[in-house]
Amino acid sequence: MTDNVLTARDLRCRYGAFEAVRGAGFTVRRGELLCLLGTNGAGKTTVLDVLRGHRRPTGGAVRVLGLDPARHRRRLAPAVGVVPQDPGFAGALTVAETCELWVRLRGLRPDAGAPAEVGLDHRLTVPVRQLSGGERRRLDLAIALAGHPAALLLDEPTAGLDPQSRERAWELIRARCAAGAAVLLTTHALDEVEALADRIVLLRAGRVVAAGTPAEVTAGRPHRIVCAVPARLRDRPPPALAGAVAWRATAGPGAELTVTTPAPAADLDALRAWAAPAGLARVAVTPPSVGDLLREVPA
Amino acid sequence: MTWLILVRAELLLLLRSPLAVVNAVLSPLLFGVGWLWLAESTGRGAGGDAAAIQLLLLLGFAPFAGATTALAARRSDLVLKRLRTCALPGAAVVAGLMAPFALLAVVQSAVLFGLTAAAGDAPPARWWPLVVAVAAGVPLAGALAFATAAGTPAPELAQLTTVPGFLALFGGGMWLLDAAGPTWPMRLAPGVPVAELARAAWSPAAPVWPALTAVAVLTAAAVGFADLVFRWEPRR
Repeated sequence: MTDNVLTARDLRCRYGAFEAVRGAGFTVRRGELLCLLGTNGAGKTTVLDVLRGHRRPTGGAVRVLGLDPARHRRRLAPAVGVVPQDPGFAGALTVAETCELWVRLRGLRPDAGAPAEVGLDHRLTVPVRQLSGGERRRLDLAIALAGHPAALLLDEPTAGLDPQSRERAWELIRARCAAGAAVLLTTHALDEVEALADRIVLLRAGRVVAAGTPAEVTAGRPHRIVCAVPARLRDRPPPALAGAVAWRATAGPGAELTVTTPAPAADLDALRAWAAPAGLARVAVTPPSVGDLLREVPA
Repeated sequence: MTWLILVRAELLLLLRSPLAVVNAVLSPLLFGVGWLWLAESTGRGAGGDAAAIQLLLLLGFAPFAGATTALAARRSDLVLKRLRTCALPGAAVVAGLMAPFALLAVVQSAVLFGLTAAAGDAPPARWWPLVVAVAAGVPLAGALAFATAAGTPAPELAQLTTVPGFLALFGGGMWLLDAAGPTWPMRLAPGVPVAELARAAWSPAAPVWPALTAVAVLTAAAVGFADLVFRWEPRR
């Protein structure tokens, strides 16, 4: 039996004349968390909509647990937990009623412990319309996690959560992943990517422009050296470096120098020699990150 | 029987909305009793005529206008979008959304027909046409609600968008009461064949099949149209 739980091959999805997804492909295996990244409108939510069976692709193929989600929506519902981008709750139902409704509509038995898992056990009798945005997100997560699904499709699951709730949500997602669930998650929060992602897929205008582990997609990308230099060096050009140099004025007498370089060790040595004997201050060498990659990808 | 949980939720939502309680629960009963009182006082429009008007009123208020408002509200809250990806097939979702209004119409019609039969000099000669009228009228009103909800972008606009459908139901009944007898073109107004079925309970010789055929055709047309135009998520 294959370990691939979620598969998309040459996925295409069109809204009228606009093609939102143009040949995206990836797999998510058991126990793996894949972060789907991209700017607004990159096609992330459309990919999730196709995987949850809400939309039929106009091209390519998707499989969830080996089945076409559009054709086998009922069969897959108990095995796939979804946090949609927008909650979709009736405001007059209470937290307990809403949780029971949507858990049972997934074809599962009611899970009385689901609200407690996300810290909503003290809000069970409160109408959903009185919940904050973050609490609604937690309710969504409770419904998605109910029944220990084999796949989780999470569209910005921690949007609007306070820091403690985000940490708690991350713990829950990590635990489900460790228990074997395949998780596909979209987010704009880079700390979330760093905290959770086993692999990332970066979409731009519906196409995959980078894919792999965070280390793989950032390999070969430049480091960044940021340092403060003494005032007397402002008029003396720095030595020839492997990286690009940028100056920034600061409030004090000195200046801030940023070097974006593929050879951080050599360039740092050269900078230290150039700044001797006063030397450099506040030196920070930042390795390449997924955030850099995202910032460099145009919308 | 998973869809029953949806019926329960919709029933709770209906009973927790003061507007829905007044419009869908109380108004048809009050108007129905009012019509009966008027008919008895003036000696005109009692018996089958009263039952026909009562049925059209309650169909217009609950399974038509009430359901239209509820569908627009659920779509606006993105509940309908979410329902499209649950384990229920589409037909079960539709049934779950409509069942509370259908149940309400059945209970209201039992109350009003009971009062009408008790108040009049002559009870209906046969009861089954009344049952058929309710059984045929509720799906017709529900299908009209789905079609109307397609053109209702927000629940508060339902008061406006339901006017044509309400007139087609209630106005059709009034037309029938005023006419010498129903003709086939008249039966294209949804209220006419439903009222004709209700009146047939007091007229043992009146044929039922023409009205029943008209209701079936109108329901099929409304279902087809609703299927074509109904949207499960708000237009962005």
